[in-house]
Amino acid sequence: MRYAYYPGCSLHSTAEEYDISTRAVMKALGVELLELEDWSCCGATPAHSSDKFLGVALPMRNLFIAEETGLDVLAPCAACYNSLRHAQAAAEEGEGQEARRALEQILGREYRGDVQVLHPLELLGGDEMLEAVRQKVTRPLRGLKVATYYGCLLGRPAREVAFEDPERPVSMDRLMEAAGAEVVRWSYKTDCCGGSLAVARPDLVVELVAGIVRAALAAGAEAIVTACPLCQSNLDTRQAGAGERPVPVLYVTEALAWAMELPEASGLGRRHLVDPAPALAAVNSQRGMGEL
Amino acid sequence: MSRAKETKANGSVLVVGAGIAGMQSALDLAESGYLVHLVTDEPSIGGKMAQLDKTFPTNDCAMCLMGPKMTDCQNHPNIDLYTMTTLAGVEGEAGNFKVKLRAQPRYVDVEECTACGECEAVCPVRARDEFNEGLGERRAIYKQFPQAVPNAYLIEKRGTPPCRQTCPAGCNAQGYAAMIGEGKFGDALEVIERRIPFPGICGRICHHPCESECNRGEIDEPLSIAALKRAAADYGWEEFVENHPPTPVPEGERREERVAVIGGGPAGLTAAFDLVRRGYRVTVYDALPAPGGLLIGGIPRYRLPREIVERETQYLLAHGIEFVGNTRVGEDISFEEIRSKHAAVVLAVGLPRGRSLPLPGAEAEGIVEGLAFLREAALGGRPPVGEKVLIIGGGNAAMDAARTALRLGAAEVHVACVEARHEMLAHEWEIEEALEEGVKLHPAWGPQEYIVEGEKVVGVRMQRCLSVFDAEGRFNPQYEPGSDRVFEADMVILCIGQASELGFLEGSGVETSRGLIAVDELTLATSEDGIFACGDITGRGASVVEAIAGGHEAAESVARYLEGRDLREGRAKEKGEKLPPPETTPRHPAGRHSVRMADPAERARDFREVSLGFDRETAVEEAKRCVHCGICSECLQCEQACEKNALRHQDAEREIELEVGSIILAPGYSLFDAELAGEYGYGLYRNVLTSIEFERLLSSSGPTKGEVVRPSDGAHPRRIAFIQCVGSRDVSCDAEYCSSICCMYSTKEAVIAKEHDPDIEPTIFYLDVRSYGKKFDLYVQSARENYGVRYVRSMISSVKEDPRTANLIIRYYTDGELREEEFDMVVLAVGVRPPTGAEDLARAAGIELNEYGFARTDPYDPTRTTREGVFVAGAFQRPQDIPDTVMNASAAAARASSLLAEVRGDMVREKSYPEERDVSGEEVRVGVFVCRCGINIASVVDVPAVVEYARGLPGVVHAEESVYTCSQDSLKKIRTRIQEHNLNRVVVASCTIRTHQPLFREALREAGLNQFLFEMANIRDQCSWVHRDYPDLATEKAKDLVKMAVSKVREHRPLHLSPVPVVQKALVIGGGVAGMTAALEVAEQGYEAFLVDRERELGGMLRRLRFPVEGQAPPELLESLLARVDANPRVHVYTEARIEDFSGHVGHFQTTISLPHGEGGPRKLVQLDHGVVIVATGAPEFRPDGHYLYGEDPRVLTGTELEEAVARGDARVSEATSVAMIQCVGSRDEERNYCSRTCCTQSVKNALELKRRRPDMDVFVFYRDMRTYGFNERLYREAREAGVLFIQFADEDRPRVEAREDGLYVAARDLLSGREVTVRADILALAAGAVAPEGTAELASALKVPVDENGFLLETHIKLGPMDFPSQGIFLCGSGHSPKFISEAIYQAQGAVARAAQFLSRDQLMVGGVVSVVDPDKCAACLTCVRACPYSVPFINDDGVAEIEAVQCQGCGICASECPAKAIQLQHYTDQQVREKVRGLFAEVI
Repeated sequence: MRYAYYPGCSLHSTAEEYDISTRAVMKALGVELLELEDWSCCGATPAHSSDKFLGVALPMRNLFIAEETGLDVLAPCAACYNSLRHAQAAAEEGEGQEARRALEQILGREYRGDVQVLHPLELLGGDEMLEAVRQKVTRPLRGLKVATYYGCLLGRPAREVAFEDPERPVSMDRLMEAAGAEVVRWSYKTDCCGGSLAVARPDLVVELVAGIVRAALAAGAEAIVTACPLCQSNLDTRQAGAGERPVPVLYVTEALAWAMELPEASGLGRRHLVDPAPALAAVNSQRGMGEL
Repeated sequence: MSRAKETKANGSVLVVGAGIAGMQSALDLAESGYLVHLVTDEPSIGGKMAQLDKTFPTNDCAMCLMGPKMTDCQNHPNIDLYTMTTLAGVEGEAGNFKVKLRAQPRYVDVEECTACGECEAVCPVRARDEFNEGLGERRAIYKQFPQAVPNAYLIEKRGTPPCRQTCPAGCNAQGYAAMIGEGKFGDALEVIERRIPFPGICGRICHHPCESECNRGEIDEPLSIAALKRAAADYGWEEFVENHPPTPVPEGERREERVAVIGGGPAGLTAAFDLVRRGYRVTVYDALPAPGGLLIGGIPRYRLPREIVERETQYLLAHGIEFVGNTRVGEDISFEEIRSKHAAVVLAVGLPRGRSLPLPGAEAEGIVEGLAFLREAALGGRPPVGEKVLIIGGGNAAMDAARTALRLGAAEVHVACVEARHEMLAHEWEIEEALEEGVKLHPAWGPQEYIVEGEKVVGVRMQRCLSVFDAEGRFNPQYEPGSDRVFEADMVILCIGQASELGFLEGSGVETSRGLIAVDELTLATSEDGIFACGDITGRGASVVEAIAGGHEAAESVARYLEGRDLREGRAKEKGEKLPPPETTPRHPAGRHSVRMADPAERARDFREVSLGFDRETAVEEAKRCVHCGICSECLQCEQACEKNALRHQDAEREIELEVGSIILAPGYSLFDAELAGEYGYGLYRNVLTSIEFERLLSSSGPTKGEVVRPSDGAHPRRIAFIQCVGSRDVSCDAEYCSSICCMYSTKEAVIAKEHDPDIEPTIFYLDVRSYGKKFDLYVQSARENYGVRYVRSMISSVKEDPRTANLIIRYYTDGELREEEFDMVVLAVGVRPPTGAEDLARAAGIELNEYGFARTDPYDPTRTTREGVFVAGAFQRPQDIPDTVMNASAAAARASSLLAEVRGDMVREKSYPEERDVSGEEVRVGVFVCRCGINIASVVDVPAVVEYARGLPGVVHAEESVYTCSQDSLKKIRTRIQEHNLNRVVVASCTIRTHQPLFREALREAGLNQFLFEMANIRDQCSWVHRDYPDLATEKAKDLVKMAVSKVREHRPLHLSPVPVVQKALVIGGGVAGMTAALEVAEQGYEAFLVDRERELGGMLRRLRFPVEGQAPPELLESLLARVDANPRVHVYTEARIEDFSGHVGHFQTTISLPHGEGGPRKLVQLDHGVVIVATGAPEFRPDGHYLYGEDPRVLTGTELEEAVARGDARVSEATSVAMIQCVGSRDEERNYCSRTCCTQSVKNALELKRRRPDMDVFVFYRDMRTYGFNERLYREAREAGVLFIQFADEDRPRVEAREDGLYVAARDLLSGREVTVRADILALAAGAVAPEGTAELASALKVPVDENGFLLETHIKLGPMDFPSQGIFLCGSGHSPKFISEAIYQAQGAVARAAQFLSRDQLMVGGVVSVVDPDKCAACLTCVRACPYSVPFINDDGVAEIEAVQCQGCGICASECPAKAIQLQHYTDQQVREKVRGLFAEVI
């Protein structure tokens, strides 16, 4: 199995743990990732909120590159994933079509629109991959209560981006169960963390994050698992004082890598503000403390 | 009709669906001369309404309203009920359809079942109770709900569970697990013994393939099925043997044929047992001294104790099997001799020899053959063993030999085999147990040479085995050269396979193949006639359970052979697909229990049993883990419990073919799946319910008996939120339309919840309150004002659950701010969807569906589908409430019967009775029949004592008891006793007259007695059921009840019904769309109609409408109706008519009308004689003088005036750039507190028309609630999309209009934004409501029918009687009933005709019986009765005394009880009769 890999800016900077753990897990599962050559920023929030043309053209440029490889694209960053899928949908109508035509002229090739853009949750959430994950787990997260947090970008707008029920996603739940964790029931799976407003309106983000963190604690969670760099960053860095105790916030791939005892991923946890080690250590104390 | 005239039409109608619509259609048709086949796919009739607690807007109990209709459907001689049945196909054409039905089995005979409930009490399987929406459980055998009709049980079966399907012998594991789960070990054993004659043996040594297939394994781990079987044998044996003592078939019933079975192993014994039970004389020959074969001579005792084998084999033999032991066929007796003495032979000789290994040194001492070794040990011998024993082989026998050698004293035991560990043939658990005991295992080693020292073996040289089988799968081990190793051993035991000894067959003609007997795969017949084989020797019996399976098959073949039947017929073994686990059975929350085992260190020392089995409690716990894949476990406990023998477990699906003239489809609707609207958390949050679930919580027959509790913790919720429009008005979940009923049902649920528990605080989150029906607004108003129901207009942005309290936090936006509020419970108002299976039904019936999945119908003939002769009734047409459903169900009945008018009466069943006996001169001779009702009565009341007591009562000449008095044989007995004892009065002491009196009265008629010479005493509902804890007192009460009934019946006199002729003509008052439709419908039914209208022209309000809501434009409809009326010779039109006088009764009314006669001359009087009246007065548009400058400024019009102006191209409108509309003008205000229903849609329709003509025109609609219910919601959406602006104003803050030069300025505060909005309009259209026409009160007074506070005519019952008046023979339709759309007026008019047809279709009405009679001599004309009668029947006649027309009287008795002069007596309940009843009770006292 081979995929073109689109890390986006986050995975090359603030969310490096996500990048490393994703590569490690995919490798362990026999998925080969080829990073897109000369990929560029997807535009993220600034592009689509200031210029509709750029909002489509920036992600679409990467789709053009992906088409060259003949491979489907794996995009771990929820914002990148969302932008790419939006560009694909937009290419079929209205202003999106203009962007497409403009790009076709600039790049001198036709846009075929036959590349599939996948998020790791979609790729790993299928029955076969889940079984493969189960096989690879050597250090199950037995007894660890996790709250799965999908955020808003993976399911909305549903028609363009959702690969599962946008209101009730389960792919991350199933993955965490396959890794042996206990997934708690809570109501905040798809709430917004405030996203990039962390910069412009930190007060708002602190309030939103507090609600999410408190809800996770109320549900009995010992860790929050995410699949989005912005979610991880907001929840990890803005939760101070929100709940009665800090909650570690892990990338889903970090948790999987730990359960699979993948060497590449060891020590990643130290990069988080809330140290996940105590929670993970409690899980498997008989076996000695695992390092993340 | 375009129907072909050559073939005569069929006078019966198929009605599919038996909810309120289906029942209404069926009853209307059956009452007007047609035979009805009423079909439902449910176990009972009743439909969705049966699930409802109360109904809006009267808060009547739904079940109480509907119960009588259900009973009527069941008892009607011209309605045949088909439950669990679907429509599979329709051929032919209108008038002559051939329909195919598919009936699913109920497994209980409906005719026999008395619903006593004994079966339910013993059923071990619990399943989700669908009727209670999964909020409760029921059994696998169940009655759908307490009031189900037919009142009968049924069984849910899903198919064969995987365990049973996998078992070679077909053992019903689910069945015995169910029994063990109930602690019934003896009954469990009975279930096992049906297929496995060796339960204790199989429970120990079966390799249980069932467990690998067990669906519990998908949840956690499979059920421990084999160990449960052993538990059944361990703890149920004594009880089982006591209940099923081994008795041979009595000599007289035995068959002559003798059968020989050679081989007494499990296969042979099974065959022998089956045959001896069928009456054959069976002899079993065996080489061993005792029966059992390998069971006693192969399997070590530590696995299978000898006592168990003896106990079970002796039990079999005791059924009359002759066992001849120590007899080797071919040596002690020749095969030929056996053959000559027996009519058939079964060869079950097994594979008695072990195989040897022909290697160098094979002759050495110390090399033994495993089978012989095991046989000796198993039979109780102690064969010598060496110090160091090497077993060669990897199967179960090798493990047995190894563990036996250990027990016999070997110091070290090794097992070597060519197979790798994972390839070994021995079962994993056998290997594990051997390892536990200390056996050393050496997989993948193959023997090359025995190492011999002197005579004795000292070891075996082995080589590493690389592979066992070659590419073709043949045994062909490959070894690694040079890997040799010597395994030291002073004893080598060879366990490398078994072989046959078939020498005795030589010359017999029985063919063999590769050492086995060649048999037919299906029949197990050998090449010789009459000789069959089973077990190991056929190559299909390697395990004991397979041997048993073979034994059964061989026995079946022998029996067929001897009885001369086909050997193969019906025996093909096809295994269906594996049944997945059911979602509807509760899951017992436990993991697999493990069986107790003896300590490995201890146990390897002797031959005591290793496995200790389950203790009783663990067995029960383990059994409860079964998920009951088949639902019904076929344990057959119900069969044993049923005293009526009503169980039919073998029933299968049936096809039924019928010929009918027409078809009505009334399948109802389904509800939106709330899980699809994930944002509300249904299915995830414990305290989020759907409205129908909440309805069941409210119902006294529901899971909590009406107590409102939270599913999460059983606490009483205080704050309950109702969220509207879940799956309605929502394009995102494919439900664009409005479901029409939810606003009202949520209001009702809020009100009823509040009534159940005054602490509840209901809040309804809504978009528009759509209370558009008759009296609905008043209901909502009362909910707000009297019950404190809070209405919040808001869409919900999120629902979250607090995981600690399971409370729900709702976030919503209202009044310009975002709020968060906590609730204890949330109820989702789920929308109406097309009925489940609508597409299949449409395909079968050959009709089209509309874009929403409902039936495609004609807007102006709303019950008509796309296939002629097929009609649709109820919610399949569109979402609608119960009154609309009743109306169009009657309409469908009318349309179906019009089609078949020529053959009316052809198919109805008239019953003939013997001539009635004149009992007037006879002395009273009472017969009393006391019912046991199974044990319903008898378990509490001492029935024989009551019978004895009854015998001594004065007038009683006969008394007896019966198990079920209502059963056919008991009814026959009543008839016989009437004749035998010349009885002239009958009393039945049993249940209730409500359901059973008609049955017993019928029995009297059939015996030639007048049906009124009967009385019932209710000693069940009113005695045994309510006094269960006081049996003695209950018996005394039962005696009293019987005594009272006897006392009363002695005074009963025959009552006779007398005929009154019917004038088969109808008077239709009002000539609008309803009136014209009604008159035409009457004519199509074959009768004459007088159509009278006070206007100069027919047409009414229809004349003023221009644009359609859907379909044809109203003017076209008007034209076609006028033309049809004009052309129909049966319709007589009287315009400019006035009703001058009205008198008579149903069947014959006389109406005098006056007509204009010349210019200004006196009016001409005409008298009309008719049997029925249909009132079809309409409702004109309100003239809003004084409202919003109407009448003062020419730019202000009404909605209808705007419609007319647009249509005629009025320049004021066509040149306008801006049009405003204001809704609710003259509606929903203090003066007229009702919704006019049509104005919202009319405004939207007009707005769209304006936008269509002038897209740039500004159109504003000022409204309170947009009530574009049903599919009209689409118009509302289209209007918004077209740019029409909708501005909502508050009830108390109406818009203000100011006239200026340049236009009309309309100002209002917009509720959504909270801002003041002012628009300029060239034209202002006022949506003026509909009002009752002038003269309604006078007309109502003349007809003696009621009107409501708004001047509209008031029907009998707002829910179920929307076209009837209390006065018989007078019917209602059109807007005079309440405002409505054209299509609604049409179906109500057609429905009214169906209601009228039950009288029109008869030559005469039978009147009398239980009616009030006035004694004129006593009457003082005080008018008490006139005022008291709810049906306005009594009147003061020309003689100045009260008169009660028998034909009108309903027999309620109110007048009789009110009459101060005692001048009125209600027949059958006369003072004398009631007094006698009371006197009977107090006989001892008085």
